[in-house]
Amino acid sequence: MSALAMAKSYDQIFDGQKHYRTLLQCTARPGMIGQLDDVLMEVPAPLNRATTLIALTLMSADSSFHLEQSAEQAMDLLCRETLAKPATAEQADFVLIADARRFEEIDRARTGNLAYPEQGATLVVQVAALSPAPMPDSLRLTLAGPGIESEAAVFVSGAPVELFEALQKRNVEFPLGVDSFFTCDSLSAGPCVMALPRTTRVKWEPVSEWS
Amino acid sequence: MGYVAVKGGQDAIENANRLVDYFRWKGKTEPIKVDQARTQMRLAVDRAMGEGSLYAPAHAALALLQVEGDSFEAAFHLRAYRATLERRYFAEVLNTREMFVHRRISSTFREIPGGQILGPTRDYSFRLLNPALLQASLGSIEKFIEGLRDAIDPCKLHAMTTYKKVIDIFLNEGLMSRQGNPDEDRRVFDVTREAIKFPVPRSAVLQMLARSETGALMCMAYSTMRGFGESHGTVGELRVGEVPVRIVDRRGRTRYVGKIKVTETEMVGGSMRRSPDAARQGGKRSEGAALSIGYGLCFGQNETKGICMGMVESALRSPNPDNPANNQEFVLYHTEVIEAYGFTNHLKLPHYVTFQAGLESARRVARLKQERSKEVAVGAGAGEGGND
Amino acid sequence: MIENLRFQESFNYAYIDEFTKKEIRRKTLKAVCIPGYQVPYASPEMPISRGWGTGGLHLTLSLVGPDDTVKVIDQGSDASVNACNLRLFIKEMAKCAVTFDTAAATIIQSRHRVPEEILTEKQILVLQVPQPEVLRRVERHEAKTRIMHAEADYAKIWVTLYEAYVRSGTLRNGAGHPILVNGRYVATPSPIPSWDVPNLSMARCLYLFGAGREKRIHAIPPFTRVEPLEFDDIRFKVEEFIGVHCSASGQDKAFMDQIYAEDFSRFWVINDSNFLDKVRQGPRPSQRLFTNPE
Repeated sequence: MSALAMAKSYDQIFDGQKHYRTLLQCTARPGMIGQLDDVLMEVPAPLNRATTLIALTLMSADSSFHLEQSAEQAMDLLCRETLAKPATAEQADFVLIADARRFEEIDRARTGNLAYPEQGATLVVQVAALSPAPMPDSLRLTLAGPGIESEAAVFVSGAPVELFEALQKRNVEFPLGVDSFFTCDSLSAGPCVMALPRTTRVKWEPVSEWS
Repeated sequence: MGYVAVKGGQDAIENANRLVDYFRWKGKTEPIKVDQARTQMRLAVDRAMGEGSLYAPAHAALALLQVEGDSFEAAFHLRAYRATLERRYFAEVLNTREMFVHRRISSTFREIPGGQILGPTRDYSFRLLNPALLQASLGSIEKFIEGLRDAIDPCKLHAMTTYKKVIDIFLNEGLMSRQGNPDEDRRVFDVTREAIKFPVPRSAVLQMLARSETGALMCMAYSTMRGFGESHGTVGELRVGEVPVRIVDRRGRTRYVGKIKVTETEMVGGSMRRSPDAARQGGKRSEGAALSIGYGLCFGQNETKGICMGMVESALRSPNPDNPANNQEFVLYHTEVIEAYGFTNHLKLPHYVTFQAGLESARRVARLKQERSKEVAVGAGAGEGGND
Repeated sequence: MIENLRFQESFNYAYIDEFTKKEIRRKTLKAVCIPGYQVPYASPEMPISRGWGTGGLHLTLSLVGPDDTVKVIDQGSDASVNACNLRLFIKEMAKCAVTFDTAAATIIQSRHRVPEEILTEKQILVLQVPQPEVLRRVERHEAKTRIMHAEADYAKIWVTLYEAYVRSGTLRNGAGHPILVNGRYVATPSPIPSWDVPNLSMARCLYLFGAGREKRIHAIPPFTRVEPLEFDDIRFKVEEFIGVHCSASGQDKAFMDQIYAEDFSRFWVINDSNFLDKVRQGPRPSQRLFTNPE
């Protein structure tokens, strides 16, 4: 039985539209945490609901995605429901990183070329939590760039410093680069998303305790 | 709220639509049936299907009737309709060697294997208005068809699908290579799903030419042989007929879904000049091939388009900035019927904001000129005074 | 005989099918990620003419949902025939609310004007673009303009700007003054008057630009630096309406239309129809006004 078959409440037209608007708002305002509607669905590991909803919103038969090989059920779901094709991390339009602690794919993701920089990949990175307020054992990201009036702060847990270093390295040659969505899923907040387009300048510092 | 009568705009549109209908019906003649248009305005239907990029004779006939015969609008209606259709399957590559031939001619040889078949063409009819048509009736049509039926030998019909192609002669003699340019981009591009990027692969060029406006394409092709190009291709073969269309279903079985009428043209020309890349690699002149083909294929019977497509396709493969028809961007962007038609007509929209911005600089330039001429006049006057 | 059934249509919500919407959405997101860069997209035919707002319509219909309130203006006016036509189409296809009130709209589709009233973070302005390639007037080939953008080689456009100055004594050369977006891409703001150009910079709303015929989307995210091209000593200036008052409201400090009467006498009216309505009824909505440098 397909996981999505039970999720009667997901409507590809209207939920797709609402989620797209959330993704657009988030992309236009990096650091903003967007809520994707709490759609009734079960998703196979290692996907969280937010990542799955992003895939359902944006991927179609003419896109490709990369997800770690071991995630067979998740691959099946994405192929079936979006008709997108699996690809290597070097070729994929969407690179899904299920665990932010294993982010090697960032170094392999496409960054586009100078004539067509939009061919840079879109990363979807799953983290433990995203919050506008400090959390224990999290990173405080200080963001600047287009979409941000002066500075924005957001707190991420479950993502190592090295991930942001890798991302920074990948985006050093603007307009080449990758654009990222960070997703998390919790009982209290539901599926959430935050965007870091390639234009966002990110500084990070660890928050070890409650401030 | 609304200092301008906003309702006015909507009313104006509705009235305009009613007036269109009024001018269409005010003659109070019998409405033309779609079937009549489909069968008796055959060539207009074919052209609309080609430019509309949708093989649907009844829809094309409806479009033509709806827009009172405007070929641009008819094509536009079909394109807009096409854009709403779900694409369930992709057709297998058409094999035009299977064509049920209505007409085939070659101008490269006096006789060709299978023979020249003039078929239905007005090429050799005198362009004299025919008043006899005014007397046509269902009765006279039936009599005409009866008369024609006796002339058909059913035993010979099967031969219509087994004609050899004229290019086989060139291929067998080694004058033409089966291998294309090795550097060529052989991807099958879909111009309706992806914006083109330059240089455009041949598959996309052919798609765009097949959808282009017949008159615009003719203008390009004509220019190549009149002096703005170096080609005067020869019709290797021009065929009009029906070809089967097959798809592969979800279980992988090949299925016949119907047949479509197409015009296919193979224009024979001198071999392409070697591309700079091939020359650098010391490439042999296309493995010694002396001749090449400019290919054209379009919906229905539209021989002007077929020939022009072949000529332009061939011209586009030897870029030359001096000739419009040898320039991909020039040809592909400007023969695209819906875009050209829409944009030239958008000039009817109000432009007073932009125009005012332009007017402001025009006034400023005029003022500057005036001031400068005054300064000159004053300066000249002062000079005279000094001389005194 | 053709059965009528064959011609019966049922359109998808917001007219465009979901497959095509997804493509437009993916490309729009990339456009936001690379401010000022023109992203190619498939741009299917619409039932309105190319050059009449198909690009804007693609964007609006890919954005709109039943909860949205859409406003459509052409040359600043809600009443323009084409604006009425597009508004009706969007309303019928998306079952959304429509409005003339700039502040009430969530999506505003516009041709050739940015509304006078300040737009907020909840709003998206969709601009219809006839020619997205700002370099087209200095380089006719797409293949070459792509390279010029790739190399940030904008020398030619600076030359034309200087030439315009020599000819007319101003940098302003008609509508659509070229802009530098986020310090990287030179882009067209679409043919808006210079009056509107400063409002693109560090705005609260998102600006999306759709060129349907040319199959390109570009974007200016909120709070993004947008600089009209200018020289250190020859500065960009907006239109000046000196000593001009709106004959319908008596107000000034807005982009004005000049209207000619039967006897060729000239008077002025505020161009933005909804803004005019509001200043007549009061209070005057908040505006961002640009002061020309000396």
